[in-house]
Amino acid sequence: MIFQSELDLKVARIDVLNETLKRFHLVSAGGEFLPPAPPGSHLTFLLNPRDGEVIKNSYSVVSPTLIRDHYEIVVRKAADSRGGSKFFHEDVKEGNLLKAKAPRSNFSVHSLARKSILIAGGIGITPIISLLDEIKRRRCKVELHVICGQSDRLALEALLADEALAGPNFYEGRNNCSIGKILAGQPLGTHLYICGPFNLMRHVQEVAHELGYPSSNVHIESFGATIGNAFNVKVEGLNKEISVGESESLLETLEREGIEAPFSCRGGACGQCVVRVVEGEVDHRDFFLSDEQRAAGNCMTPCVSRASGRALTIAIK
Amino acid sequence: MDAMISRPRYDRLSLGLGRTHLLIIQGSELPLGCLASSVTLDDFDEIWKVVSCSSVLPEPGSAEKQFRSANHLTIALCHRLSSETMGLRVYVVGEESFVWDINAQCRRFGLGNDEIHVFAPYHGARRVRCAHCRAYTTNCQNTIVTCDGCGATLLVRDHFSRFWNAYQGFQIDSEEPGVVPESVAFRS
Repeated sequence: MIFQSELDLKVARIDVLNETLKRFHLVSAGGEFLPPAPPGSHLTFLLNPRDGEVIKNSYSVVSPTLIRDHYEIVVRKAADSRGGSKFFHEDVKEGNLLKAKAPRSNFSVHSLARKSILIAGGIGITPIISLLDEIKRRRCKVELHVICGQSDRLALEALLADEALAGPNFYEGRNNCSIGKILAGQPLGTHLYICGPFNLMRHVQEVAHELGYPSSNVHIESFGATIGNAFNVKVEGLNKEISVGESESLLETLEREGIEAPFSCRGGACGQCVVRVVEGEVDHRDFFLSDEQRAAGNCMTPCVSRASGRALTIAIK
Repeated sequence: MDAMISRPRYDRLSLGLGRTHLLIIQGSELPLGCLASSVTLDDFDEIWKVVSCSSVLPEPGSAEKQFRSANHLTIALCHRLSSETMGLRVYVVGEESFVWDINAQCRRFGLGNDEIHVFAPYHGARRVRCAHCRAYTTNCQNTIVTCDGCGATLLVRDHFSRFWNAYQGFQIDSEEPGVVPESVAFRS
């Protein structure tokens, strides 16, 4: 089952962690061993919340890499869920079958890191958990900073309970955590790993940049959903104009229209889905493109970025 | 010589984003043409020079420091890097073997590709590592050299190893015994 690109998974157990967090234990529907989930990996589920509609949502695997008899994911029920997390929380029951793409990682531990600083915002703790095991194995120095609401703290502490990590630092709310203080004065060879809300990740990225961290030392995992103004898109070579709604991404629209586009994280972090922009201005919301690439304005990540105006023309590689 | 060419390519030094910019020069003056047109010496926070002079004294606190030898500078650099924090950028100008020696020390302390920039204006002479006895022979000017370690006649391949900080040399007629190609001078 190692080389299988699509997996049939059975929900073996569901743990309710609190009102908005559930942990799902998934096993192979056929009882075989599952492909290894490398550190920082995610599963992209192909969900059918309603007949005829397929939603692709990615969730980090929080079970250790070497465990192959099951995967664990933790899903937060988003208040503004477009179907994915609501479906997991309300419709998925023990014994149900789910389809997912084999685990992929765009958020691995840098092999030459001398120290790792992990910063998680709320449910962004999930990809961080899967890195901890690997970082400990490498005996690399590590600091963990978790920013969360009061209501989530107990559940997130419980998730970390198995990690035998000295002193994870919890902050209840953004205002209680100074990213500048965390990042300043860190030794050479420090790498940052961040996952959380868009604004937090962007803030950490900016502070790191100001303090002189090279971008190659800043690693981001993002599964952010994207909402914004509706706009129209022409796809070069297809002679077709499509409309992107306010609550869907350009990537989702392309898929809905049957236009094949590559993807992996669906959160603007991995760069797998980058397309060429032929005409129009882009509202970049990703963490992958460099400042120079954004300024040039000739490419974008359709999974999160949108048109600044009402129309765009793109070309898919 | 074999057709495979694998030599470092050097771009003129331009300032990357960073908190502190340290320029290291092998020599008392910066050779012409090492800096990008938009960069001047005033853009660097500190300048360290290897002046190869025994009368040089330490100048604590000065933005420009002189060192009597490359070893002297390397010791000071290692001491500095052991307590340095994120945001440092190191720029190195000098002979190829010097700049890659400094590069190796920086990497040992965790600096990555985006944090070290090297420029070797003169790289005609090569440091060669014998593939057989692993000794280094310095200042090699031609494609055929005699190993300082084992005395073997080595053919210097056009391949620079960043790991060993040297070009690879191997027994001249190892492929076809008795066949010795013509020795050719390296171009800078």
